Amino acid sequence: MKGKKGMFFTFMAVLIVSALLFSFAPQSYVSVKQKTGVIQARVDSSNNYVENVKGVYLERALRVASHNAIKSLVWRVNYSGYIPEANVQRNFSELVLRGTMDGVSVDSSGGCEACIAKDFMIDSNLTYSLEKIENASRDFLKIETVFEKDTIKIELFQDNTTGPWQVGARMYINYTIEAGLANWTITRQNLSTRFSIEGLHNPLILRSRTLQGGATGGWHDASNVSKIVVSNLTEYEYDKMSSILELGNMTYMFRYDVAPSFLQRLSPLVVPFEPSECCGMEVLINPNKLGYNSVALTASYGYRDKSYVDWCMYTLLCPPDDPIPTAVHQFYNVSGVSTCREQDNFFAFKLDANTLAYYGWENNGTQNATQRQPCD
Amino acid sequence: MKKRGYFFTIDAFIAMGVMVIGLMLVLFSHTYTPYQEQTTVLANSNLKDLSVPTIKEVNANSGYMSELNTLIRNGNITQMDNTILEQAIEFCLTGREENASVIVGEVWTSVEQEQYGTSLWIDGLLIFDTATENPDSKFLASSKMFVIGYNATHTWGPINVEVRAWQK
Repeated sequence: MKGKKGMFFTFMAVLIVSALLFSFAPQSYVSVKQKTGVIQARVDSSNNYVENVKGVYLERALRVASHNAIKSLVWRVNYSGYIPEANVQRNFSELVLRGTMDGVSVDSSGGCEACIAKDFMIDSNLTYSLEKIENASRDFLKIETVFEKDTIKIELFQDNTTGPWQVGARMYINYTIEAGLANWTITRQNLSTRFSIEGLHNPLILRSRTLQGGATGGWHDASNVSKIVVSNLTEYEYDKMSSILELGNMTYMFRYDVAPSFLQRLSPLVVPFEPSECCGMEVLINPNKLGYNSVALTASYGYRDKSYVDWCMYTLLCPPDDPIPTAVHQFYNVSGVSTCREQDNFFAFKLDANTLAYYGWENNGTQNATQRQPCD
Repeated sequence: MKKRGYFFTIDAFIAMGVMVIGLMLVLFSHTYTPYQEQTTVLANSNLKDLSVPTIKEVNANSGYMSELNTLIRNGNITQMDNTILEQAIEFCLTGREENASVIVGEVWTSVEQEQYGTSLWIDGLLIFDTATENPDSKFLASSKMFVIGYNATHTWGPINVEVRAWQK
């Protein structure tokens, strides 16, 4: 009996130790816990991709497509004339999305050599860029991305946020992202981008040079002269005459009260005209830079009696053409600037009274304006 | 009575021996497994170290004689708003992989961990690694993304980027 009791107690001791062993053995929940961390990392990685799509890929695709679309519109003006204001948004949107205008490709390969032939939109329209993103996410990241290309809305704008020297484009887009572990549905994402107009061509000057390219009288063929170069001066420094004229270079200045914006220059500038409050700009014309000599400045070309501001020279919005009966139809030379020698910068340069007052050149003590003395 | 005492004493020793053996089995049966989470987090973190900060930000914290600063001063780097990764990719696209390796190394060297190795692959090409990857490496984690950059007229990419991390 006593021996059996001992054996029994020993057996109990072994049983207790075995129970302790089993209770502290590794359980399956530990490996699941390890898997949870990896799953979280995969979801984080997918989320990073979504953030990149929202904040980086779409904005860059829109910016490049928009920039090239604006260049296409400017060259369209150059070859085919100004675009009706009602069509600018539609044309821009179509160019950005598909690289076409009125259904026709603007690339030379599309047979539109007469209208654009500059190949700006090859491989840079938005649809092409979105398809690249979809393919890359599927092939490399194993994430399914679908952009609703048919419902994308594009808007072109210039406002207080862009100022005169930038153009903005806004996009509304829907898309879904399926990463297996998690899905995202983004509805009507609104994103915008802005880019500088510096380096783009002024449609007014570009078109006028195309129209008169065949004229006699020494027209220069320097297409770069129509490119926009922004002046370093602010609107409070326009009394610095020598800085503005900058050795004859034509630099663009902000003109908030009466001048059209860059986007308005894509369309015919006719009466009635609503000037841009936020984004008006202008450039003082140096006839020497544009190759205007005395022949070009004859009455038949219509530049003789024009203020040498680009939007005045190439439209009927300024004296002596503007219909405002009380407008002062006088022009003024600027002493120290205007000359009657063809080879000089600012040959026959003259300004209307409003522009003269805007730049503070009426009577600044150093360079007075005098009533125009004809150079002929 | 004495014999009972012997039995109980021997019984106690047997019990203690069984418990000790049991505890030893429990404590030393733990299988060493690599830390899967840490390599995954490291791969993600190292990728972010390249894809988030810009050249301007990294250069502000680097010395004048740093490799990055040298590349800026000699005109190899002009876009200061590029991220490190974007700049590395632009170097690769223009055949200057050694410059890409330099700027990546400048960033990763400061966050290198001795027991882990990491490598950067751009479009399937090894650009930089902190240690030679070998087939017997303990747990290998990978973090991927693709990059789309742009210049004045076109976007470039998508370029596939992969960062691998492993326990040495």
